[in-house]
Amino acid sequence: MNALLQELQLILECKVELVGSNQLKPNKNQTIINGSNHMNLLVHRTLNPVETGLIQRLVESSSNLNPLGKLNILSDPNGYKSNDRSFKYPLRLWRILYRDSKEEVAEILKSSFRKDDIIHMNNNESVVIVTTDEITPYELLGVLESEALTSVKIIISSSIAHPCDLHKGYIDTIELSELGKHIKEKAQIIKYEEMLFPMFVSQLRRAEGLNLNSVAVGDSELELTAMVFLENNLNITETANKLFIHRNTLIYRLNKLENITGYDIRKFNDAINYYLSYLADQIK
Amino acid sequence: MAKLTLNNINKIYDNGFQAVKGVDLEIADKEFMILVGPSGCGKTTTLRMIAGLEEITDGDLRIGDELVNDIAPKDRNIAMVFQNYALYPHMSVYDNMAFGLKLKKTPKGEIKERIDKAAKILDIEQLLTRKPKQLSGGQRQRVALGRAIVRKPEVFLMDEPLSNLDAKLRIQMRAELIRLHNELQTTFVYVTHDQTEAMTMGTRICVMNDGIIQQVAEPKTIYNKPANLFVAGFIGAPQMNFIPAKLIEKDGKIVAGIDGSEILLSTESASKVKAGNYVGKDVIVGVRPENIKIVDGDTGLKVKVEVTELLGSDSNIYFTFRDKQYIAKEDGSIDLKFGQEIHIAFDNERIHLFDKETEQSILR
Repeated sequence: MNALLQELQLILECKVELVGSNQLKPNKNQTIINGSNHMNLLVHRTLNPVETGLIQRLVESSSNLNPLGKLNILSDPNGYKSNDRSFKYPLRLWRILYRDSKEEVAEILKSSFRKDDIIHMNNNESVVIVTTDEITPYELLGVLESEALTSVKIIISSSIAHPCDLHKGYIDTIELSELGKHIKEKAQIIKYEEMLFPMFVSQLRRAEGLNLNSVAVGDSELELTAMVFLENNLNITETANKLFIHRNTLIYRLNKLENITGYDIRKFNDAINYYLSYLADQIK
Repeated sequence: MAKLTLNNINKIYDNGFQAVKGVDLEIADKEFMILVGPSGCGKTTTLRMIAGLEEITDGDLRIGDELVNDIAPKDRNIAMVFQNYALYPHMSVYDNMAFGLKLKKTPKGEIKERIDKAAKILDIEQLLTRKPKQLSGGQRQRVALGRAIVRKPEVFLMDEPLSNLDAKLRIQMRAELIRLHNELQTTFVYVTHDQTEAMTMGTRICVMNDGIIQQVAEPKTIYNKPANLFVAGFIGAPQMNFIPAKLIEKDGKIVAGIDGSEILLSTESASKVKAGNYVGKDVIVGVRPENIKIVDGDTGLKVKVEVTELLGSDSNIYFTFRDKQYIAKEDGSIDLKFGQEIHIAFDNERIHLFDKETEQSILR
């Protein structure tokens, strides 16, 4: 993008810069060229319609990566009908979110995936289609953070078997990243399969069909203990090791949780009920 | 100059969870600092805040004398190495190492110079034309380190870089990293949950728990003079034994009374106990397994053997005393049977005492 900006500045003999969509307030001596969803070009002089059209085409053709708004596969439920690309199914969408370093991220993605599999890219988000296990999300995360030096999250859709499910898969990744903020704020990789319960609770909440009693205990240590215990398959020894506490301390905390909430999460049914209520507390 | 200064650093996530609580830490230039602690203790979050990958909620972070809270990670002159490293499968080792420099538009000649130098340090000169598939796990990890070295960072930040390697390779790479640190003479900050890595690699260790620094000291000090019950229990394998006791003055000497049995404290320990007004108080006695010896006859405490684990040169002896299980480390040649009664004695020069309420060491 930097090279394009330099070329445009030479051609137009004025300053050209990238601006976000929230900075679209050109004065009478400036022209906005619409780019991807979130980024546009601000040209520091007035352009006539022909110039605007030419530069618009130049901007689009300079990038092989289609902005989401232009490529309807993800944004439009029926977008797949007009898609002329053929993907190998089943596939997964990896929605990659980053804070900055867009150019470095783009180079890394181009080196890690086939060009056609990168179906969307803007300043803070890319979506790639993944059909192989050549690179794991953990490896990609490691490369992006160590090479591009930017904070990254990767949201992984469910397995998509048909083109008509691409839109839903993408929408799911948006919901997953929102839910992740409540449930797994520190998690950098969020997979659909690991978030079924939160999605279920979230959808019920939206439909106002969920009215569970709160299990909030007002004790973050106790809640963390419960979550680690659930993540470790209700295994006392593994949880105690993970938290580096004595098993008797863990048992004491689980008893305390039972006294407060009524759920003995050592029992499978109580664990499920507690977890659902916990999620309902978190997802508001 | 790559001194790192963390001044009252806090990290609170949007959901209110506080991962790091008021961390004050000074890491000297060229130091190999280890951040160690159990899962969720805040060590990785602290490292990521140093890198700029996590925002600092509150506090000051300085690299050298510069405040870097608001400086982008790529402008901090740091390099990161993670446990999940990926090499581009279709690129040679050389191109993998060159990738980051090409992104930074480094001139070709300089890229070659830096890669040649890093390859020599890492002893991978003969691998530069190979593809990642042709490399062993250890060689791949060296290439990942090479990618960091060619950046010429002021600070290396490593997050459990060896945890994906098998045990044998991990030991080998530990030594490699120590050598690398000596050779590069750069500041290393290394996160691990493995106390053996912490003890063997660091010039200093920062033990964390629950988002709070528990102790910062050289490995020997951490082991021999743990600041509190947590550090004492976390560092050392097998874990230190903890026994509730009451400190009593008897014939001018201080003893730790344990359910009718008594352990005589050393003169040095006794004077610290008196100075801290701990006589007559309940405390927790800490004894490392290697400081418990089997003694003959009727001396010492009578205990019952539960399990013995032969580890080759050593044996771990699990025994019960007053219905609680403890562990001693003995010579591998010892032959004990389940249920056998033995007498044990503690090396009273190496007994640790902790305040029962605050869990802080009484003897530091």
